[in-house]
Amino acid sequence: MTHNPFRNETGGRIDRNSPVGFEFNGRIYAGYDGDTLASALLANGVFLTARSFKYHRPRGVMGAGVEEPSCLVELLGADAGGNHAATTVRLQPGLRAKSVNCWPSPNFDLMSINQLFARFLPAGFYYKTFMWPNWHLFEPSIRRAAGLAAAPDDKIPGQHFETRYWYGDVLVVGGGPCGLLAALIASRSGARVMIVDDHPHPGGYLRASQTEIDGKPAMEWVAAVIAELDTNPEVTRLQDATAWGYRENNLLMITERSPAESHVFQRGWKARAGQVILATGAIERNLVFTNNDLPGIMLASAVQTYLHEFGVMPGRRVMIFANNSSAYALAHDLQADDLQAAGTAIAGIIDSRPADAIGAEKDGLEIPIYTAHQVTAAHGGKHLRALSIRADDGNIKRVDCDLLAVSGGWNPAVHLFSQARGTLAYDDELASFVPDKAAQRLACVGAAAGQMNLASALADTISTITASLGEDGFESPAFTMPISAASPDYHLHPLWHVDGMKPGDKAFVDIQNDVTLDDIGLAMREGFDTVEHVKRYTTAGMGIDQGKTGNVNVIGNIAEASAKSPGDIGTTTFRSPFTPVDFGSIAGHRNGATVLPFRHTPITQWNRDHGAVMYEAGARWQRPGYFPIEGGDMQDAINAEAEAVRYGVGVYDGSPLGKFDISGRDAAAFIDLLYTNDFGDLEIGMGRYGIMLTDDGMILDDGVTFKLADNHYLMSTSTGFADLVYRHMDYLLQVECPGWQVWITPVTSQWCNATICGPNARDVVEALGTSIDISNEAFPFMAMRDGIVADMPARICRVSFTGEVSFEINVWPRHAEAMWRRIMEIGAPFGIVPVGSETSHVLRVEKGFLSLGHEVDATADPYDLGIGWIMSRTKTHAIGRRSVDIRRSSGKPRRELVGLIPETNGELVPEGAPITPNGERVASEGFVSACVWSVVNKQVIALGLLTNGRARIGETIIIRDQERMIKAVVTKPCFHDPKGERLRG
Amino acid sequence: MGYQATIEKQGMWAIFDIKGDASVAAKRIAPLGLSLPASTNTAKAKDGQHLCWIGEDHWLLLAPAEMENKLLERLDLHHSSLDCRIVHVSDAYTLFTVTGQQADDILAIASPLDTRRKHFPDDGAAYTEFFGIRGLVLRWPDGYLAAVERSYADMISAYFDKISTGSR
Repeated sequence: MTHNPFRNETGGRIDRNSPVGFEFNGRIYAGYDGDTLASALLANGVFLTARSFKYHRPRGVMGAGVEEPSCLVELLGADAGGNHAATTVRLQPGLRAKSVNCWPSPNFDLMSINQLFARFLPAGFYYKTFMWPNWHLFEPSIRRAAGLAAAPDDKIPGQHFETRYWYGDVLVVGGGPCGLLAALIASRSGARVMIVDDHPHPGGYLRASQTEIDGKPAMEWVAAVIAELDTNPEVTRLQDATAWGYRENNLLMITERSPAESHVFQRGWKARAGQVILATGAIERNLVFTNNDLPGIMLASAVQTYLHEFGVMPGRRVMIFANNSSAYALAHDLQADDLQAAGTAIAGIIDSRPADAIGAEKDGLEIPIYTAHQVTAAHGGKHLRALSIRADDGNIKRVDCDLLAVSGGWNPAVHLFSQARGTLAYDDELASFVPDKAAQRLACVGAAAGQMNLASALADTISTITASLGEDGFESPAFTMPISAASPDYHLHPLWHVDGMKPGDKAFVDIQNDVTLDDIGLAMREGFDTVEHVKRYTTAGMGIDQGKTGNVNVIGNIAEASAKSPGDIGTTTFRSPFTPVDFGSIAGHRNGATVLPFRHTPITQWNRDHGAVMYEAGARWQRPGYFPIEGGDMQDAINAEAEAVRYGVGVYDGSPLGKFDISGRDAAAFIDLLYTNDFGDLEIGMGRYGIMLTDDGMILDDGVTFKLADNHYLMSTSTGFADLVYRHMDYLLQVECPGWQVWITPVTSQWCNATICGPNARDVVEALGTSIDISNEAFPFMAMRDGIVADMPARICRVSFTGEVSFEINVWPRHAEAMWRRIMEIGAPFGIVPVGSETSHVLRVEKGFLSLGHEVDATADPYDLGIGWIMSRTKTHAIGRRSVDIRRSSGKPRRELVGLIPETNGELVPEGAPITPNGERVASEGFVSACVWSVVNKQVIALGLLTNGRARIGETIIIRDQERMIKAVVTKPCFHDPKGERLRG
Repeated sequence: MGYQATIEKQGMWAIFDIKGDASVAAKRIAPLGLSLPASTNTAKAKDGQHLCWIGEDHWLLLAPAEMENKLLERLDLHHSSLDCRIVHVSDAYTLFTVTGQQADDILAIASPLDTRRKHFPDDGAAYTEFFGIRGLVLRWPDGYLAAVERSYADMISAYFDKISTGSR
């Protein structure tokens, strides 16, 4: 039997036949299957488990679930991950964990020296310190000190995340009595139901209580409901799953931590339901008194959970401090004979309420009840030893104890309701916020709706779910109303903080972020007196626990200090996630090779097989950057490819270029609307280069459009902007020209092309064998012809992005690889080489051809780029034309496209490098848009945009590269064949 | 490990994109023995052909590859009518079938499509997305037929492999 000194002989729902060994802070302990790390540590008598965020005060386990503010751990080894609340970590064989935010251990933490300087570290101290001489001097140290656990270094083997969608009629969040009842009724009506519960086992608070339903232990009722739900194929039950986000139209984000499928580590659900039932229960809040953070101080409900769920009694001499009736249930539990026989003594209840406010909850208790008393301070070093309690008359006495169970009241868990844009109202009787008006089709039931009595909560659940099912046309099913045992009414007197505290007392309102009552007062004195400002100034509610046990206390204290109602103060914005979620459960399968989308052409594998360096080059297309050559580096490879194109022949895969089939009665008018130049006189079988502008006169895209027939065109666009152009055209037809008849069909992937380019390109095409007359006379530049090439149906286009004679051989993808291989085979005697994107870039820079994202940077118009000829003088209705004219009418200097010859001894200048007057550190007058080694000029050349550039040809300007100044001579922006004779040959 | 479902990449199909006036489109496809689907996001099937109504004035015709030449001829892609445009797009798509006991689970992972019968009936055909990429889904015997743009086929295959094998 495992030695757990604080484990009761009997009780709990752990499996005492399955001991589990684990490691905590380097020491080996034992627990049982069914334990959490927190319950196992408590059973072993490990109470000091953490150090606080700022002051490094000793801390222990305070809660039993997601509300835990103190005990965060970092998991090591196979489960590596940071900042888990120990109360949510299931004990598994081999578990290794360590405390965060302490070194070397929570027992001896060097940073506890911070406590000596506590008065200098109030909220917001960092806004007032670390300023001189320069914040950046302190920044590295603060960054190292900040944060809690470290992120795992390596991918954990076997961690497979998945995401999936679910649609249904009713989604119930919460597996307590009200959630189970709602799901049961909905399932019996024939609805498709999902029920989500964040605990490893269903039952909610019933698991920690002794209540009865239908005359039997409540957990038997739970088991019967579960059994029925699990046999219904229309019910999806997710246990150990957290609904952490509520989005629009009843979309909920859920992370399932223990899917049934063994190969799935966690599953992220996007679940959408016609109706959502939030049965998320309520969260107990702390009480604010001096040293309320000592190990040994726990929420009363947590003590009950440890007692009934895990058979752990984390103290020998127990006091209860409460302002409400619910904590008395714990007192009744602690009176059990077996506990007393085991040495547990309940020393009394300290109830801040007056005697006449205490009702039936005290009946049957044989322990001292100190009515109208408050705990003013807890005493102890690393563990609670005693309390100072104060009577109404001011007398203070000291009481020894090692466990204090506190209950400041219950806050309905309204997080998801609020995320769904529902409004909240302050309930004076509960002294908390309850759901008011829902903004989506949802309803709250049970404690989440402020119903703190089980019988009335169940009745309310029934009426709520049957009403909503009726709205959706479902029949009310047969069921028997579960009868719960009578229990005292819930009654509370708000106590936002105890009386008589002195400035400097460490009374925490937010345990996790070390926010004290003094900090609230400081924030308000400094003018940060709204709840959102107090939150940000003090960081209250900004920890991993999101202030679950403290936020309402913060609001209550702001209200008290400003003589307002908490309802007038309001809450801060509830944001998802409700509890921390692993990024993996959001990403699902988007990892590794599929972390980003990727697109291939039929030539991709051939490129890989031939050693191409592949990367994305626009619109997710994987393209060859260059083909390495033996004994050479990247520049050598690019030079070889460029020389092949300039002096011999090369071939590149132009398949990713955007392509659209455009036809219809108004197709010609549409083309005319899109492009700035005139397409009206374009002949069938010919193409024309065009520029598209946006409404504000900036270049959207460029490309060549061919006329296939009257009112039938084949448009090509840039690779990277194809999708944008499609959206642009779609928008125009839907919004601007809704009556136009234009049919647009994307055919980007219907056609692949191998572009043969260079002085010997025509020879290679002839050698391939073609039915098309490819002489320059029969097949001029910008023409298109259909026919047979290499025994395959093909369409050849004479366009050129390289400045050399080029034949784009377009074939269907089913023929693409065969065509490519044939080209390489036939082209071999001509010295054909495959060409990558890097070389394409060099070749177009030599020609001064435009590239979107380089010269076309959303500030330059066609006139700036030296292609004013493309702005038709007769056609003024093209999109963007007017904006260009308006902008230019100001007469202000413009940046214009120029060529640059930098004096760099062969070194490239970074693209984007600014050009400044005389090289001074002043506003730039331009920048380098592209810089390459030119094989035809045997030197570095560049393109750039320069203010009044065309008037400065021959001038020497200065490019800044960090602190280096590079001289460059301004030239015309074309370094090869300025008349275009080669590409038209 | 994985799910009890079979995901198979299909060979070529004959596929045609049809846009235009419904009455004109109906005449153009009549020689195939097909009529236009009566409801949006549904498909009409005949002789192995599937005509899917996927948008306003927009249909997609899928047929076995061996029918392609006959369809190219019968659909007359160079028809002079401007009121209906039929574009040959057989090579622009890659098709996958997802079949088996857990085909619904695979779809629930891959796509946000609501496949409940009341929303996606037996003759359902809808453009949705697979792993973030647009794609067409039809009901298929024992599962679904999916068509995605060819260039993404390797990516979709990689995703399907991950789901079905449980690998990362």
